[in-house]
Amino acid sequence: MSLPFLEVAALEVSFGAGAQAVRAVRGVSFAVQRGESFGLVGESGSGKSTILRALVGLNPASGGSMRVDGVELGMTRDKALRRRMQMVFQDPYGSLHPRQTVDSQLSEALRIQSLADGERRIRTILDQVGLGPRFRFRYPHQLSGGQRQRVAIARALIVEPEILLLDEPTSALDVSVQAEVLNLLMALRQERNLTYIFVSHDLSVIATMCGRLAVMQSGAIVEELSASQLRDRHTTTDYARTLLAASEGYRPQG
Amino acid sequence: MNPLLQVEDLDVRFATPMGLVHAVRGVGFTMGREKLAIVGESGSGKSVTGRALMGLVAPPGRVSAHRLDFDGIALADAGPVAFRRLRGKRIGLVMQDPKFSLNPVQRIGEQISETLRLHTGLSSAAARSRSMAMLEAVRISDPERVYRAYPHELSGGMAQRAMLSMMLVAEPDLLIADEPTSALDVTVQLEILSILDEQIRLRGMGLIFISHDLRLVSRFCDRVLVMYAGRVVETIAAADLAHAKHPYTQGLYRCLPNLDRPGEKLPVLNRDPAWLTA
Repeated sequence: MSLPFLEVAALEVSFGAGAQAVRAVRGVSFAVQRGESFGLVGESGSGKSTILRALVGLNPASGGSMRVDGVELGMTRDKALRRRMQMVFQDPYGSLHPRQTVDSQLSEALRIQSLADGERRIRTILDQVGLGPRFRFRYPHQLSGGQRQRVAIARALIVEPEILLLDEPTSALDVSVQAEVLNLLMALRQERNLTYIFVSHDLSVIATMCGRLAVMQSGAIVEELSASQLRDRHTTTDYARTLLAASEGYRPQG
Repeated sequence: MNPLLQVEDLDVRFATPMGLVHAVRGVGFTMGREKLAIVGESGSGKSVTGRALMGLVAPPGRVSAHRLDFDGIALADAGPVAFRRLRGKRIGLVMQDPKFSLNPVQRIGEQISETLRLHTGLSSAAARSRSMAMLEAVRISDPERVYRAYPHELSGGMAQRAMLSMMLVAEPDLLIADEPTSALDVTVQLEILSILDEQIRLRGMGLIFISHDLRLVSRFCDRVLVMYAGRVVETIAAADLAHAKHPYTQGLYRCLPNLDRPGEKLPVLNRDPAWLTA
């Protein structure tokens, strides 16, 4: 078996110090192959977003290691490394700059990475995320939630990353819009052979988007399983079973 | 016997600098002591409908209705006083996020007892013991602690139980719940729903359950009003949601990701301009 493209080993993330320290991520390990889509599922506070933030360098890791393509992810990262991994956040209302047009937010990403041919790149990416040129000079408040999330995806993809970290990218959206954004993400992954780490609290979203997933509870991975094991309800831990039962919806009693 | 709620031709308009927004257009329904869901996307008018029923649409919003009868009381042309007499006592409202709907600087217990003292004139000792019993009824294992706690000291699920207690303690006839579980974790959601279901059944109340989650509503409610662009496009028994007639309802139901169909392209909603009028 080839070396995993992205590898997280015994990752620890703590906030605070001494007796007050909160261990948000406790010894998490997983490996993802190139082109794979890997899901992290769990309830609020289970540490799933913190892992993404540690991967992208927004939280310092307090132990363990993270590697992409054999390169260790340390505290300081060069631009080339940052370019390989991009993140899409949950709330498109909070993650876009409210006073900048779509065009200037996309241009900024290009400028940071010193990428030439900006005009063509911006036009292409807006087409690819299904927005088109007429959205280019709008401000975020002139866009719907779904359109904003498409801009956030465009902003992540315009620097041509290999890995996309998706932190609940559809949970702030209507179900009808969620379906459109999930379809877009599926198509983009195929077109560009992207590797996804997809965080969600919704098992059915994870099952749709990921080939493999890890169930998290209180900062640790309690179970790792494939989408087909999930479909066959082959869970081994009680917690995964509880989560599965909850995702199947409300059952009236009596 | 009068139905619990009778609504005919309800309209809500907002005059904005950008022009008149017609948020609710000619909504009508009749309900008894049942669990009625109002579903639709954001902006379809479901929450505004719920607020209009309680007289909670603030200016510049304007509400008009041909008929708005609550248990035989005509509210269509009623002023704020008539609504104030009903709110909290006979009609309760539970909102999405307890963090924003509870008073952050008042203890939970005081917020619950306040309802009782305001509407029933109970003494504070009696109000306290009724509130404590109410907290127990929503399955809070240590009501003493929660009674003394401030909202920020409680988890989302606990705070939503406190919210429910506050709304149920005056024994209203109708509860309007606006996305009461959307801000909660899935496992907590189920617990809150089961408490809500139990209380509604025990007290024989009516429930209007506003939600965007068709799968949840199909199991939890009796009947569903589907709203699109301010209008009710379909009324259907909850159990029949999977076989809805209207393409909008079908679209909303089918676009949900399914655990048993991984990796498949999800059906999306193709909006037909005819839905705005038909």
